[in-house]
Amino acid sequence: MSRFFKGGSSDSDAESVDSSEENRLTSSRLKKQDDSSSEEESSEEESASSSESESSEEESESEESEVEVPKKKAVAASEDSESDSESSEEEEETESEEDSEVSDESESESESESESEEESESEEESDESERSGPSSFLKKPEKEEAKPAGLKFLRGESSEESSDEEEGRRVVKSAKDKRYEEFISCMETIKNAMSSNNWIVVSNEFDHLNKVSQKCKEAGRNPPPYIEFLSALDQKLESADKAFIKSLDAANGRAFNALKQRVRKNNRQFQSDIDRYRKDPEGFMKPAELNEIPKPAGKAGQDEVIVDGVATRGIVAPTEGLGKPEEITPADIFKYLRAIFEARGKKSTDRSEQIRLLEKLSTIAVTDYQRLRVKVALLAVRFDINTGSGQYMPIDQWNAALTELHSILDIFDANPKIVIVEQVEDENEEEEEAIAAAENNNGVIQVQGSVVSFLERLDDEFTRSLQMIDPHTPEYIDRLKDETSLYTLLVRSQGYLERIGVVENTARLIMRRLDRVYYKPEQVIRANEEVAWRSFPPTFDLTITPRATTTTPDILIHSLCVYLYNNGVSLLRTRAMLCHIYHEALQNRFYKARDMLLMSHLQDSVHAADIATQILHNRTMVQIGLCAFRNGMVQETQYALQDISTTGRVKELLGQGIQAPKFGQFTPDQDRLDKQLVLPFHMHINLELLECVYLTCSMLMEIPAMAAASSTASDSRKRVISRPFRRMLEYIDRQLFVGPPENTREYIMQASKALADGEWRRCEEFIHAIKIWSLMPDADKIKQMLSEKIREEGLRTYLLAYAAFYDSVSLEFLATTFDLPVQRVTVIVSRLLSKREIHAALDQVHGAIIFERVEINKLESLTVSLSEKTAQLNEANEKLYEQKTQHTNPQENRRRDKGGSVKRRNERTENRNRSDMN
Amino acid sequence: MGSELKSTSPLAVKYDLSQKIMQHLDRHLIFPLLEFLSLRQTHDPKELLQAKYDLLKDTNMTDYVANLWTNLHGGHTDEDMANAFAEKRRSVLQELSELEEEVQGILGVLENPDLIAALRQDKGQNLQHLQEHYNITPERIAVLYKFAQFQYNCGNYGGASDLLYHFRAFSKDPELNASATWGKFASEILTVDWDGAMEELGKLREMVDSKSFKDSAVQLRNRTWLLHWSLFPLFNHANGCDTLCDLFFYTPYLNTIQTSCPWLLRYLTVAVVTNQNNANQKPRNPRQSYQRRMRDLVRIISQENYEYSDPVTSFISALYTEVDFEKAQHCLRECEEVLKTDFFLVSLCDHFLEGARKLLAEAYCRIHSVISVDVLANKLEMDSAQLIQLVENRNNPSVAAASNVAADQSTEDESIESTSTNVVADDLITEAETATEAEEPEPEVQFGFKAKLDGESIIIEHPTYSAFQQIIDRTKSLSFESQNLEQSLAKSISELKHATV
Repeated sequence: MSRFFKGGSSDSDAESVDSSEENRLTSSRLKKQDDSSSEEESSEEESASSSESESSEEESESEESEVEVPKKKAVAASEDSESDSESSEEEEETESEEDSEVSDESESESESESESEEESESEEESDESERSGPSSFLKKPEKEEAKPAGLKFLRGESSEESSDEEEGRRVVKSAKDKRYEEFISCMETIKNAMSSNNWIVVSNEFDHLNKVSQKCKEAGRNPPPYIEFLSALDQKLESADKAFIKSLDAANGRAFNALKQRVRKNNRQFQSDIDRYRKDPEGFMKPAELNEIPKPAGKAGQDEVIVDGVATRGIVAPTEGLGKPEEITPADIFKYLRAIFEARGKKSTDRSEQIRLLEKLSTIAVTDYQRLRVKVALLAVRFDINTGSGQYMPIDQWNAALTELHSILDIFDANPKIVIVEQVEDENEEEEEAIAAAENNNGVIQVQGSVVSFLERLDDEFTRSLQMIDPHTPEYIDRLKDETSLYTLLVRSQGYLERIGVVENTARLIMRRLDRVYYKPEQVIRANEEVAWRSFPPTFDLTITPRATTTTPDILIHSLCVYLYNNGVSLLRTRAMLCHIYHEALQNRFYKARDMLLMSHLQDSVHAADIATQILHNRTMVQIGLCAFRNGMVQETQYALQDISTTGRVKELLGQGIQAPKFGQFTPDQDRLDKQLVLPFHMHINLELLECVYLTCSMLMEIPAMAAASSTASDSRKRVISRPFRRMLEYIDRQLFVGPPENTREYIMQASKALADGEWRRCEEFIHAIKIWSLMPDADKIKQMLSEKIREEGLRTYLLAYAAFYDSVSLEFLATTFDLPVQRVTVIVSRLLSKREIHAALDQVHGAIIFERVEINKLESLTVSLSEKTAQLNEANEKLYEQKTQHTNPQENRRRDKGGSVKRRNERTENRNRSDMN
Repeated sequence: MGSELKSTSPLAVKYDLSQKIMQHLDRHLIFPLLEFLSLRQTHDPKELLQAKYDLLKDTNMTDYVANLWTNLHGGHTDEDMANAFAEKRRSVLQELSELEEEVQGILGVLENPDLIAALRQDKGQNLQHLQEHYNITPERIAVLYKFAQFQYNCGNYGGASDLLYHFRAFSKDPELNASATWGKFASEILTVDWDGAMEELGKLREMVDSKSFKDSAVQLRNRTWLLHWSLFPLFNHANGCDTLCDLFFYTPYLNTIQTSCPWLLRYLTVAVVTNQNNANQKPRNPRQSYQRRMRDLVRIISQENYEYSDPVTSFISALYTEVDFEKAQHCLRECEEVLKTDFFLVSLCDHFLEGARKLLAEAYCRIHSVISVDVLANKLEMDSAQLIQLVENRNNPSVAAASNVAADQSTEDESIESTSTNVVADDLITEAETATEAEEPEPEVQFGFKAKLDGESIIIEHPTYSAFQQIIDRTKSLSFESQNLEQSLAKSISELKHATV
């Protein structure tokens, strides 16, 4: 098991324990994990040697490491190790699942035999000793409660013990005694703490006690004092009333409640013992030999059960908790299923246990109905395997679930009489009942469940795993490869749903399928499709996307989207539309994408949509912008990217990461929600490329506009086209010394400066030097397009900026300077002239521009600007008037309107006065 | 003629809109288009014949269809087909006589002068009156419609038109009334009654605009039809171009053009360009001013450039958006070929070219100060000698009139086109204040060109745009606008006072 996975699971384990202290510990542990990984090697060596040596030696070793540590840290350390050992448990469980022969160890302590576990165990051990450093000391100053001095030592010993077991029982005796002592002292501590109402200590000690008691039950039986104690504790807790709880302070009360829960949960395992104890306290306290329980492995797999003429081997399946042996016949399946359903959702349920049981059941099941019921239950349990939302489903579980779904679909294919529906009128436990019920229903047997829901869950888990796996590791790639099989399953289920014809569900499924393909380039979609279709029999076909006509990805996406437009609910329609547009933009069909976006009027309503849809919308906008750029449309690119790029939160808006919060901290909840919205890495749009494109377009538009603004007489700053670009340019201007450019942004800024100075060649060099263009398809074409634009805009800038210094310019000269054909120069100049951006006229005979020099004196220029301002004021007034009169409630506006109008009149008279003066 | 067309056909075929327009026409309206195409010989005659046959085989014009069929199969007659045609003819005639019988009674009543005297404005009352006195139920009125449709299918458009007139006067069914109006419109077009067609067009427009459609797609379709059908009367009616501009520039219809039929931009362009003669007269409505229309046109053409472009629209965009005179001139040459093969525009072709050349020359002069005579003459497609003469005359007004006459006389034997361009050039320089302003926000700004001859070149003097002029322009509208604002403020305040009291 990889390092990464382990980190993830132990992490989330801590999260599932809901006290805040645990949360803090998480962070400290994370830090330590790094240490421990470096420690790994040494600890392995250590464990190898230690397993050979006497346990007393080991004890002294661990004692040594503990001696230096002040005992106050013990609590923190023990909590650490607790969650760690839990995580190691989980690993064991997942591992042992693979090996079905491994007999079950009851839920908590590890007695498994494999080498690797031993290693991990000792690894934990070394972790633990690492961990009790000063940092945890600082974290837990309040835990100054009295602790038995040997506690830490004993705990360490206890986990060593498990690894000893297979070596032989040479030292069992002394260890047992020691453990027993610890056990008793622990109970004493609890009793003391209880009488002093310190429930925090009780709670901590209780956990400890449980651990120790596990070690003690060598003979498969719990020590009677433990049971006695449990019973007493239970009684004590249950008898506490609300008033008593209220009397405790906050932390203490929380601890009390948590303890109560845990005791209840714990006691359930020992319920029979406790009951026996309560009935007969005297007899129970006697030594254990009398009520020894026969070992489970004894009768394994002996009997043959004959059902429906098929000989099935009754397999002994371990049941929960008590380890009683049991044989399961197909008839019993439903009983087991019921038990599992009842246990569902409870905290104490051991899910991996259930999975193992269900896996066995599925081999036992004979009829399709039984198999289906078991599979459905199995899927549900698999999805339940981790409840915390901060982690993803283990990959082997995921794969198993995928296979499960396939086999469910197999059942449906084989037996069309069985259908799966979300709502069964009355659920039938037994098969006979189900068949009986089916009589009324044209012989169709109904099973509760939903293929779409399972698929959605599977899909979500896949996405979540991609979100959490580091995208720069091979694991990510490996995980991504699973997408093909997921996609195949999606297509297959689509076939099934089309057959049974539930429109709403089909729409949901189609959406999932669309979500998997819309952002991909054509070749990838094609490959995916091919793989999917190859796995189906040639008779398999779909109605929405028929095999024969869906030949290109375009048709595929088109037909998926059209289906959703016709059948989806409004959210799905919106998403489908956006996906469709995204795809069109990706295929470089700018106008089509743009028209679809405009026609759909999505931009008006998208603000009200959920965040995921907004992210999709933003992605679509950006993709349209990039598409425009690839088509060489500078202005359109700039407009499309404007909204997103000016915010400065591009990453967040595109769902590609979370911005650090500006004010204060996010709550962990908020943080988690945000993380869920982040798209998996392979869907990301390259942000640097995006910025580069946006800035380049801004440069091509802004530089001539700035030149025009500076040359005209009126001092009014022309409209700012791109604020971020201006800001950056100003920043560069302020620099005393500008070094050679290092990143994309600097390259563009220097190019802009060069362009503004009329040095288009330098500008071109800078732009071409940007490395990120290589991410664009057809990078050479893009560069060529840019060169052309740079020349033209350079010419425009030159004319706009330096017109004042010329009487006339020959077109020929301009053409050679800017390396453009004369024809093109004429056109550009003509355009400038006809829009009256420069005041000049062409001399066709001599091929030159003749500039008109209009000398404007101070008074004139002031008057011009005054007239401009007056016009602006007038416009503003009109706008204001319109705004005010648009309000529906006249009462409310009257006052404001009056005030406004008075003020405006004042302004106007003032202006008039000023113009008179002039 | 034929050979000439053969050489130009690729271009004409490439930009042929017949196919696109036909989608939105009634089958009877398509027929004239097909006739026109066969006259032009741009398409394979056999194909056209087949198209005609397919078009009409479902109508009641059995004789003609049978004729077509024989033509199509090279004069061979097929026994079966002949029988089939005869059969069909019989049934048509039978139906005709049946319907005629039924209708005769009603028509007799309707033409009764007593009745006409008794009729009122209110349809309901009229119906009641009919039912009481003449035993004519609404069902019998509906027969009128049916018969009209039958007549229309037989090609008797005049009769259909009359019947529909009567039907509309009495029927209350809005659905049938609507289709009756469409039918009457088509009949008027096919009977070449342009005044009547214009009237029906107005009615249809009102109907389509006022009716609230549940499905906006249906409304769009209706508008698309209306736009296409209106091409018939509007390009034939005396004042058609102006009405066409009004209709096409009306925002909902403009949107319709942009969404469903961008090719109609060609017709709009031609209408705008040919309609510039009255550019000097100030229209009542500023929306109808030539400058305004031109500006809108330029905007829309550049917007729709990716969806549709042909030489006509690219001429406009080359001239005003790209300001590429070479390209514009090239487009203009193509325009000629395209327009000559367009059913609706063939009559306006010369007119358009003339107007377009004027626009080109205007725009060219506006940004040039010195132009060689040859180049300008080339732009105007006239003799440089003529141009020189013109400019001289212009500078010497007393001779102008006389020389104009002389020029006319001297060029009598020349083609009509050259005379017209002569006039254009004259216009250009005498009425030089008509320059268009495509991009400037204020269309009122005007330029006067003063041209002088200097050896081989013409020198155009541009007025300097002084600061005074600027300020006057800017502030001209201010007082008026402020007044407006003040008035509306006063109004709303008094309203508010009124409301509170």
